[in-house]
Amino acid sequence: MVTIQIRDLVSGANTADDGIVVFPHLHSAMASGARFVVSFDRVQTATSSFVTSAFVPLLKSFSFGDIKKLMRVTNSTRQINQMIKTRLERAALVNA
Amino acid sequence: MIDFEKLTFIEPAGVVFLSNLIYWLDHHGTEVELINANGNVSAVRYLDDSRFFEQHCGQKIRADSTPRSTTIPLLRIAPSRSHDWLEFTLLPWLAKNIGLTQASFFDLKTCLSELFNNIKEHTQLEIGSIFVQHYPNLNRINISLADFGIGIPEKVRQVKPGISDSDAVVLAVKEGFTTKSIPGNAGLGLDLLLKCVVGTNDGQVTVYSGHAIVRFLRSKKGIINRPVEDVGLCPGTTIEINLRTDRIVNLPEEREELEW
Repeated sequence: MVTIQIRDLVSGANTADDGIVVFPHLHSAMASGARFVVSFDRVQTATSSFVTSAFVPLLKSFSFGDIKKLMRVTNSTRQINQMIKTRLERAALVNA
Repeated sequence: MIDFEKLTFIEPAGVVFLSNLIYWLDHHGTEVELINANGNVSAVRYLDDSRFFEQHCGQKIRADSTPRSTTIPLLRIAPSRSHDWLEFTLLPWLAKNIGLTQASFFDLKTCLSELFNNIKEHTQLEIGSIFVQHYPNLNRINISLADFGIGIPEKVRQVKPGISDSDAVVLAVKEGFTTKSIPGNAGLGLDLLLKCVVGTNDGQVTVYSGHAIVRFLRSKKGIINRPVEDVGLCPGTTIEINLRTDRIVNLPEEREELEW
């Protein structure tokens, strides 16, 4: 299973620019159609700007259901998980 | 000329506000002279220990002045460096001083990261000032942060012309409101800050910007605001965060997996 290590791509999940770097990697993994892992090892927190740039644009190409089916977020924190889940849920609702 | 003769007390927000005002004046070509800063007066000693005079005069008032254990002294910081500062300076300091895990402050750290992202977006010089004061006897932490961008009211008037300064601040903290200056800005910074500090922690947030001072606090009705009109001018934005340390939940440092 492919693992995307966020810290291998950016120094932190802090800014929209960080999210823009991560987005193509998530998009490519989603496009493969296979299950994959996103690891937040050594990342404490994620801002809304990061999640809005890295995760939310996936909804233009994939359904929220597909994202939940294929993407496994590990080595994360409660704050990061809540931010990803909340932002994706809200964006999916707006897109619906 | 800024005269310190009658200064007998200063709040942490006043430290960053005054510091930012001096930088703002200097940036606009005004020569600023600080006079009558008497090292025997407690407010001046507080400023001195906060490295205020070191920053603005190049030297301390008193030779033995040193940052107090209950403060993180005044710091000018670029948003690009702020995230490292939050992770490697602020969180370890908070965890040590309050006796909780760093994970207990992750929500607060995220809110401050969002504020620094806002500074980067809205400030020409991309510089913010921050000062942190712990009041152990009051179970309170004060974090004051300031920038000298165009200020919230001016920014909001770009999309809502004619709105008053205090109404603009109240609008800017509403969930989903954004001036959409850059892609990726979801307009969640101030909204998240209020939820974290006022909603969850029962603390207070005060926003000074333009001619507005608006304090946000919790009541039985939820988060309410108390605007104060005609209070003079705050160039840029100063945000004062008052956290209750006795209401912060000690969270485990363990990592977890997202459950959809």
